[in-house]
Amino acid sequence: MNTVNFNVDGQDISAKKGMTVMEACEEHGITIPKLCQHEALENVMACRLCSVEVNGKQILPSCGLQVDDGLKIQTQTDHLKKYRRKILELIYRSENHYCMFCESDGDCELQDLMYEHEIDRFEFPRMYPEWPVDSSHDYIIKDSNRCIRCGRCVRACDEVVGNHTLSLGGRGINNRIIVDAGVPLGESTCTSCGMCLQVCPTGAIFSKLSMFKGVKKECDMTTTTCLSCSMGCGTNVYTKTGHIVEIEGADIHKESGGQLCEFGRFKPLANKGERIKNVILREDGEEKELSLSEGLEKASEMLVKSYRISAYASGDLTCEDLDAFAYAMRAHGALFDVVGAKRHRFETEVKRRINMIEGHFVTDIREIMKADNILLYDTSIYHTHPILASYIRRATSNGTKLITIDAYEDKFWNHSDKSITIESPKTQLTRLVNQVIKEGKASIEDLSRVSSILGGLRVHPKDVMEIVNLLEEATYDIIIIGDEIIDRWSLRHIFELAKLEGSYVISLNHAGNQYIKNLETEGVYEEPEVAYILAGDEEDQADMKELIEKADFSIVQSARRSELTEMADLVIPSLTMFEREGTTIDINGVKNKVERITEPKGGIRSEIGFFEELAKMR
Amino acid sequence: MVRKEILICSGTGCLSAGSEEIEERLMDELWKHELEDKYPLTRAIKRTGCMGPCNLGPMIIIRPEDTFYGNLKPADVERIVEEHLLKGRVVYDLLIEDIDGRRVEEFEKLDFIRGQKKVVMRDSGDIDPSSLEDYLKVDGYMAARKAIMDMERNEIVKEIKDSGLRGRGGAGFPTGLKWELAAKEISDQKYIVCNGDEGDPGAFMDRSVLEGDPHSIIEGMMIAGYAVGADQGYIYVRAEYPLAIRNLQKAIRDAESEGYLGENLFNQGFDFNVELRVGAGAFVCGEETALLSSIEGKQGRPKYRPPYPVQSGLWGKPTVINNVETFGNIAMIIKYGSEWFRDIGTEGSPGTKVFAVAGDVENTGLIEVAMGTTIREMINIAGGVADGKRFKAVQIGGPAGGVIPEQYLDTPIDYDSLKEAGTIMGSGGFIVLDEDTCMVDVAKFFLDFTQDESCGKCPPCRLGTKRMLDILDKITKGNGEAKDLDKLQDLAETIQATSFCGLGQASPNPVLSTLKFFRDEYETHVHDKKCPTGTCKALVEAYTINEETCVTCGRCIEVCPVDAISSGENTYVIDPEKCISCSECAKICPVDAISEGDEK
Amino acid sequence: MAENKPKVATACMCGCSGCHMSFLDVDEFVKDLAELVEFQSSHVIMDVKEIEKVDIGIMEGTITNDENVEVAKKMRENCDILVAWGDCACFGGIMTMRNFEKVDKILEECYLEKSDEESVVPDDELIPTLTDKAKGLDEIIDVDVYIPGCPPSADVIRYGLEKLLEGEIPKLDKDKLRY
Repeated sequence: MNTVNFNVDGQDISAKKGMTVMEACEEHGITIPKLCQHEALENVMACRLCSVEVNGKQILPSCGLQVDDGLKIQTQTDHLKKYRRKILELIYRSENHYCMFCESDGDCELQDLMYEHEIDRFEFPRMYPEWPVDSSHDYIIKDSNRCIRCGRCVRACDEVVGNHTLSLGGRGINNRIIVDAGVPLGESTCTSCGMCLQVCPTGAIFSKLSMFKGVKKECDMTTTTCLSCSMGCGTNVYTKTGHIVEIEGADIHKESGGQLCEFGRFKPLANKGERIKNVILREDGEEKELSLSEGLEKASEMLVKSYRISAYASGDLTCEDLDAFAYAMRAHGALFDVVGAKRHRFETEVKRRINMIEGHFVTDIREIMKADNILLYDTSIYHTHPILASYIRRATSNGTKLITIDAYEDKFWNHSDKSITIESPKTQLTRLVNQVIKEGKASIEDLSRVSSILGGLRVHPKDVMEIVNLLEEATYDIIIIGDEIIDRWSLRHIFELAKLEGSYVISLNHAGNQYIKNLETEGVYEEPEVAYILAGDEEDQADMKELIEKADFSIVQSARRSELTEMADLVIPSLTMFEREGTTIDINGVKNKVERITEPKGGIRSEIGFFEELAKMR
Repeated sequence: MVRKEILICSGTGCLSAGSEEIEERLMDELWKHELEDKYPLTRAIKRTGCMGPCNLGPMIIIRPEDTFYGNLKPADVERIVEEHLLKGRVVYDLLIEDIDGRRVEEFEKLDFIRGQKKVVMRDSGDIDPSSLEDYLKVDGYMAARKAIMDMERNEIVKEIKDSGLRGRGGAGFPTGLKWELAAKEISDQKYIVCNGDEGDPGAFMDRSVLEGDPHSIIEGMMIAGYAVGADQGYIYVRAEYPLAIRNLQKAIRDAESEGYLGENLFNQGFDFNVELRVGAGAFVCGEETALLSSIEGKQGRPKYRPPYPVQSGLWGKPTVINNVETFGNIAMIIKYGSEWFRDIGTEGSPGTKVFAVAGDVENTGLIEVAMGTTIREMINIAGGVADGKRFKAVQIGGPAGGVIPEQYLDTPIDYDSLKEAGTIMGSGGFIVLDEDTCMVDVAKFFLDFTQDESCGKCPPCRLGTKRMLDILDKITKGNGEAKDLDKLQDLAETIQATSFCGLGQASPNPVLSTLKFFRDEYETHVHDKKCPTGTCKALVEAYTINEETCVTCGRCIEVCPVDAISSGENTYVIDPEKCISCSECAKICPVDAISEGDEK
Repeated sequence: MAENKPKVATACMCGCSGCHMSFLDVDEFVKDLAELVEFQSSHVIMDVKEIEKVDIGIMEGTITNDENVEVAKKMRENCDILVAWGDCACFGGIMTMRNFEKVDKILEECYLEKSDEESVVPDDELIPTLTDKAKGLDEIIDVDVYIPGCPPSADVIRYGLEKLLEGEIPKLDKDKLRY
């Protein structure tokens, strides 16, 4: 039997074995007060508010108690209410809670419970402990005065993000949340994912970018998909009178635990660049503002009269936007490319050359957490794909071995078991490992033999052997290739190694929307007559700049003013991530919906319509 | 000629009382009298663990005649050597006067010793704890040998179960049952953990056993390991016990090199290793799940049970965790059988219990008695209430326990009777309080301790104990209000019902039990703003000198710590502004001319 | 009939009068209220300094000086039911933020350190002396009704008054309670 039957407040309910009483109750609409419990985190039974009466005698926390046949649970006895009131008052009066000053007033779980328990007077005087406020971080303020020591942030940082930046320090009333070994948050190992503030029940950790913008309960909330990278994280975006108040992770029940990264949670709100409202034309050293239709005409005029046209789009657009842009550009005979697509083309080419089958590729990145061994090329994914990085960190916390190979510093330095820094090209070491593996155990044992293969490389033979040994020992190893590896030789060696070792591969590229894999793209003219760049609101624009510099005439379509738009001859308004709608494809190949969160504030309502017009004007 | 042996107590108590200096003098004297052949140092002078009567330190026992000299000063050593060792005459005036004033020659005949029944403390004070050889001489590791070579695993578990041994850490869980549960668990790895994180204020039973007889604990753990199928043991000791750590390290090393620890013990294919883990001295680490977290290198915070450690303990593996004293009993039970053990103590609580007797008694120290001994008998063994004062109460069970007033003096000491009387056995704290003790102050003392030691995980304990302490503080400062006593009671109830672990749940006990038995004292503090015993300084008025009685001897001026007393015309005067009511002057006054307040 | 109308006095201690302002937001209910009760004193609507015997005494603000203590005690003596209006009166409110520092230190900081050179700490016998700590009402006197809020909304204030006039002691439930 997998279900058990028991009784809660006189109501017979049944639940799956292994559930906690709290979960079972919530499933049946019985809410039990709680502060430390959070669905994305492990239960620690610290706050004691969820205590229930069991079989008329014991008082036990319902978040720790497992359901069992015949249990008689009371959730609302007078005793329990009295205890809860007392605990709430102890918490409220012992730290410095001043609701009217607090950013979380209205969104505070402690406050809600105080109201629910009708606490309108206090027995104990305030204690006035003097706690520091840490505002050293770019986005996060940590105010210990409002901290109730529930430890959610610590668990989130450990269990969900795998970063272990926050921990509990001190004992008794001196117990507090500390950062690393007691450094300010801004100087810590924090990855700015903001998971801590998402789970904080009070106003102890909050976002500088969202503070005092509005009470979330009074906001409209839309669930959409983040376009910043290919992880396809679900986001809940809170808006009030058309302005974004806060962005939270939506996937609380999925493996990601609802975490977002700096790019998903903070960057979209931090972006202060001036919106482009009109078309700007730079001609003969003069800058003119044009209407959108005048801009359209100017663009088509340039496209029509030119032969060598390079069209280049950001990878962080919706599938529909990409299609419309590609269609319009093709109509004008342009060569078309998208950020990240080049890497994908190389990959396909290499795969075909060495007969690499699709079975070698991981179809679900959460598999990372099951691997025995992870071999990571290019650790910059720590910043470019933070959610994936969190899976790697979580895996290492559970005993997975991590080997990193990078041209620069190992960004996973405090998680990796073996890290090798090798000057570019990164391919050399893979080739070497391949060679050593191919030549069998004999050469592994023979240090001098390995040395001779190593040649001029500044890598110790022992390190190579350790990698080989780790790969040999593991039954399930995954090779992750970061988006900075873009040469065909490197890819070939890495893929060969995967084939040789039977490893699985996760290959990351720079595009947020993996629709690029379905699109037909080709390299663009390096020195075109006209370069048409659809930048959207992407920030990383180095290769786009390069293209503009070499073009005779450049058109940039961008949401905000940037270095790129300053360089362009013709600037056309574009949309931000939250003004787009359509679909996007994540790294696992799943199609997700992108909702329009805010009405377009720039000079353009729909890019699709614009490109349809442009396509007609040839 | 019978070789003489001089045993010198080198427990932490005696070391701080100066036993090392006595030892040095002894060696000097032996050298001076050219006795080095007769008394080779390594053989004749033996540093032992705690002998028990700590307030008699430094102390020595001369064997074979068992003559006991206590409270020694370095100058006494010369006479002992010249008279006792050279001439064979007992130095009568250096013998200890017992309760009835008689000087007692033999250690075993001291009242303090005669009333005891030593099982766990059997070797402490008798052997050199740093010597495996000494331990082997008292049949050390024979019980382990018997268990591993001649007994089946389930036989051992049965023997311990039959003995009725209950955990000596305080809660009294049947040890045999715990072992049985662990033995039933199927796992590739099991652990034995010895809880030596003794933290109750004034309690030092575990420390003394670890210091005085470390091998007995290792042997107990080894037997447990064999019985439940564990090959790794950990002893968790707090860093504040450097001597225990040193002796344990030596013991583990010796046992390893002599084959009493390691692989294939007694050629029976059983492996057992012991490692020492040193804790930073957080009280909460005495709680088993917090202790295990600490061993794992995590913050010492309790975890939710179930799963219990026997199912999922250290690193998620089945773990038997027992107190030092519990392990101290194991070898004896295996050696003499459960029948023998059951004959000691009571039906429900067989065996003995070691208490650290402190407070207002004549003789403080470690006393091991058979369970069922009454509290009155215990106090008598300790020589009665000190200075002929009246008995007020005894605090048993440390910060988690409570006070027992006079009317319960005949309560037998066992788990169940103490529970009925409103306290707990605890780990063995036993503090006798005389009539001069303020019960509010006692409650405050213990609460201050638990409040400080709370780990901070749950709000009832972290914040509730702080609030209770604040209220007690307010009361002892004379700012108490009528509703404060109800507030205390209310808070105590919440803390007891909702705290995470035993530390929190038991933390209000000292307050509740003093409130129960001595409520009038609280009320006097609150309503009359007076402390009947004069302990709470804020409630004591300034002292005054009766000029008619005063003989101007000047002693009061000397003892006054704040120079509040000056000479007047015919008498001395106390400046009420400066007086801190410490009562030192009243105590020293030979004619009782000084009293509290303005009465003449 | 006028003699039988319950008498009400309101007073403001150290506070912003925000609760009284919020009370004025009850709009036309003021008219009904004027029919139902007789205001003995209330600084927002009349100029009567002394508090006389009343049925309902309503107080806003924190106790921060000896005048507040005096007024509070006088109100308690003169009323049957004492109502604490707003966070300040109920639990001390934002004024208690000064309790992090000693009074002298705060005065020094305000009047000397952070002001011009001629400034002095006010020291006139007409100015009430600050209490060592800012306190909620119930730390000084007994309070019968708590209407917290910063300020309590007009609806909540109205609810409280209506209940009182019905002869009940109002208690705010979770929908009305706000800090």
